[in-house]
Amino acid sequence: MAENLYIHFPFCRRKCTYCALPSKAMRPTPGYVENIVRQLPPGPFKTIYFGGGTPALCDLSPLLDRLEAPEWTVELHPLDVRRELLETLKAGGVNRISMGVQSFSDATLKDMGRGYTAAQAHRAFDLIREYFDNAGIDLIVGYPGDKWELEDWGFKHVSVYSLILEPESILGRQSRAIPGDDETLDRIREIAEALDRMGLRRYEISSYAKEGFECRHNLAVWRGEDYLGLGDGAESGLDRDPREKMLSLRTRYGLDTSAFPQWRETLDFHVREGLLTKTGLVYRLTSRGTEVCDSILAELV
Amino acid sequence: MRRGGGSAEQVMATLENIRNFCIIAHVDHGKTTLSDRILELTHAVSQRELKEQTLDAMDLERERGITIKSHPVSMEYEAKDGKKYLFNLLDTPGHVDFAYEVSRSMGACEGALLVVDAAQGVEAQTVANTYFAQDAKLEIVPVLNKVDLPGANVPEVSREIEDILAIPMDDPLLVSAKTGQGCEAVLEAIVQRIPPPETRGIDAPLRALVFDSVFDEFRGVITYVRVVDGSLKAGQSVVFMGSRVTTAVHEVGIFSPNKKPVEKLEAGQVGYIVGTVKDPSEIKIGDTVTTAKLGADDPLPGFHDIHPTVFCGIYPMSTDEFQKVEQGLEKLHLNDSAFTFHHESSLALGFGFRCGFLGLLHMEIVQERLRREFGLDIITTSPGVIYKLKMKDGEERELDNPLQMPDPSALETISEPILKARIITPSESIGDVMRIVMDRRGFVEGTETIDQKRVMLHCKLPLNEILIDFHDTLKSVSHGYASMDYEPAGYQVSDIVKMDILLNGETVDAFATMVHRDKARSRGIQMCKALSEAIPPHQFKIPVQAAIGKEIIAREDIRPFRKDVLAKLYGGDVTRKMKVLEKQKRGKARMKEFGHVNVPQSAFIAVLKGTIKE
Ligand SMILES: Nc1nc2c(ncn2[C@@H]2O[C@H](COP(=O)(O)OP(=O)(O)OP(=O)(O)O)[C@@H](O)[C@H]2O)c(=O)[nH]1
Ligand code: SF4
Ligand SMILES: [Mg+2]
Repeated sequence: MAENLYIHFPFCRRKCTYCALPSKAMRPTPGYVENIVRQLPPGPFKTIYFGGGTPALCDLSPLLDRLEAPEWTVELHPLDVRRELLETLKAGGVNRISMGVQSFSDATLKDMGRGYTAAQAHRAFDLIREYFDNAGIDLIVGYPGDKWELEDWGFKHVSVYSLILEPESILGRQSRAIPGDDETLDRIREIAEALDRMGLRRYEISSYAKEGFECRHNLAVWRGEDYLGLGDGAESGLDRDPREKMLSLRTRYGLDTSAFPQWRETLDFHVREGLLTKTGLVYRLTSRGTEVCDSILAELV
Repeated sequence: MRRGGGSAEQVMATLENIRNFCIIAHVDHGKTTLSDRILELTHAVSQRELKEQTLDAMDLERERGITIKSHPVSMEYEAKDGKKYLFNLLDTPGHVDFAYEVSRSMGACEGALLVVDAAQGVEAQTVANTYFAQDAKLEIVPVLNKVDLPGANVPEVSREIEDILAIPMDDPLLVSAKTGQGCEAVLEAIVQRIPPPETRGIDAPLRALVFDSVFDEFRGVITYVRVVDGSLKAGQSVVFMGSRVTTAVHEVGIFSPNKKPVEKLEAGQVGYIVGTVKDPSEIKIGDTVTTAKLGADDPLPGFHDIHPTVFCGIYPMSTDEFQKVEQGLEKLHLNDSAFTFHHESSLALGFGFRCGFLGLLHMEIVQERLRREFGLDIITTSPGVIYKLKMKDGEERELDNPLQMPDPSALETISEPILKARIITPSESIGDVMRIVMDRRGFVEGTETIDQKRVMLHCKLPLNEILIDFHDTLKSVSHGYASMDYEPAGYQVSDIVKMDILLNGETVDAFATMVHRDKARSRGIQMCKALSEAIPPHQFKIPVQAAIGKEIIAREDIRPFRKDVLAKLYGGDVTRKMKVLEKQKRGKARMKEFGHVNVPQSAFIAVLKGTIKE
């Protein structure tokens, strides 16, 4: 039985311009949570992750009553953050919060349709920290016109994604120019350096954490462990294709090829080209390698 | 019956009123358009079916506006003398590469309409095709076409025809195939001036000349014949005298212009045979068909063998399609016996074929037909010629594939094929034309004045040098006016070397070419440039180098791309991610991988065409 549980909540206040995730601007459908409760296996779970959409739009109590895990993350939107909610989550056993901040620029936040200012997000994060030590944020790089300096709010974890124009997103349907690759990579490097000064180190292509605060749920997914996905728009990874272990190349722990001799020739080639390093049978991305990881993985599929 | 003509099978043809003729000319002088008028005037094709260039049936022909295959068509004409005549017309291609199609068509004819554009005058292929027709002892009827054009100069062009071709122009046919002006007179001239077929008789033993054949998915091989003696009908058993293949005849028919079954074909007629032959390679163009019982003893003269001059490798894009490509080549070969193919293999491309063609256009057309008519996904390597090698140990051999080039230290000499070319050009471009001939390692042996405005250059040129864009360059320096015709003129010792191309430090054998040492550097730079533009950026820098032996003579780098998308990857997204990766991978399946460098098909084309205009 999978030891990792992912539950998806596909409901949002409104649709953000860049978003192509499975979520809709709508109230939660009645009975959504109860329905998931009925599908819950007995457990136990090593990691639980509530993602969205916006999990906090639902009354999570029935799940909080049922579940427990050493790492239990809930994604929050800054507008979700109230003492009452945080108390409930904490009492229910949640121990990790990931808040989608996306930008420190009020103009960009408005453009994205996020519905808060940077100062409001900062206050929300401070409040979260009163209840949760393990708290982090998500940021987007490369949004048109975006410009900000990274502030230190006391993050334990930060995820940094570059904007992708997905055809199914609002932005994807508009024809706006987005910054070029060089500019985006420069931004990512600046942010990585700033995070490094704050003591957060990059442990995966788009994830940074203080020592010991790496997201174990995501690591499990990247390492090819099984996970159960519940809720509309969630996928399960059960009896996973062993090849999916290749995704661990995304992490600083690297890809162990003991069981995959067929990948070594290609990977060795990229070692020669300076994209990877090799220790024993474990391959790791160099900093140039992180920029082109997908196309290396595509050669292994 | 309507006056003027009708469907051809109604004519009970007696030899006296059969006229077999072809239409020959330089490219674009209006052969196919004149055929349209003839079809129209004889009502062989209804007004509804008649479109421009009706006989150019292949998509490829219609798109390019050129004739590639000869097209036979039969029709009836009621002449002014009140008699009905059976016309068998063969429209022919004008391009020099297809000269063999023209000469084969001539074997089925007694006469030729020589079409000359009255605004352009005599051009290189006009001269060449006239020589062919004279060799084939055809009655040549000159037709001045396009007299509707303001630039038409009838007296001048008539004089050219008399002076250069030695054809009397006492009673010139002045025609506009476009407007129809003068076309009736052409029909009358065909009756008056082209002789009826000669034969040993309708009751003599059957002899029919195979001048073409096509492969039909359902009916197998369809053979096009000109019946010279005797007659032929369904139910008979016939034998191909050269190959000794025997077949029952299921159907005989004529071209009107689509294939139409008839009861029998008689001496003098042109038509087709459907038999039991399924294997294209069993039929040889130029063979003679006779009856299995009481057949003829002596075959017809046939055609002399044609030898390909230009070679390239053809490989399946994906290695498991080797057999499909082989079958495609076999079937196409029936329709175009002028190209050759045999197995070869390359480290880079796997198993494929070395194919020989009559020229570059011929090569392009064959490749294009393989793609279209057989849906084949193929890769082709740079065209080359046959070199003659003399080894130090005295051995002599031929080389049609750079991969088989022996170590230079074992070589005494290499010889390359030379062409004798006739170039007709406006006098004001003569300097530029001479310059490009010299640039291509050729020389001008002599010049001849055609009229006040034009000269004919007699040149010698290495075949190797005209493989790449010579024709385009010639057209461009002469503002489109120069025309060229050529024929093989033996071999000549030359300093030819093998040039390799390296991608990311590894030799890719499929890109190897033979070049003259003096040309190696510029050709190397050109190939590296073309490749570096056609190969998409990878995660790493890719040097593209040209080398002779160990010496690098040119280099271009392909800069790496900057980044992939750095997307969020959470649990729910793994399956999607894997799908995206697989899709990315499939995208590359359309490319060939050489030492981790993915090379798209377009790169091969870029190398073939890759010319950098100075
Ligand atoms: N003005 C004018 N144009 C003509 C005449 N006859 C042909 N053309 C044009 O000349 C071009 C070439 O005509 P085609 O009949 O395709 O020439 P072709 O000799 O069959 O060409 P190939 O088969 O490629 O050698 C076409 O654009 C015709 O429309 C004519 O009498 N007058
Ligand atoms: S980004 Fe998050 S909050 Fe915005 S629409 Fe998408 S799922 Fe909903
Ligand atoms: Mg034509």
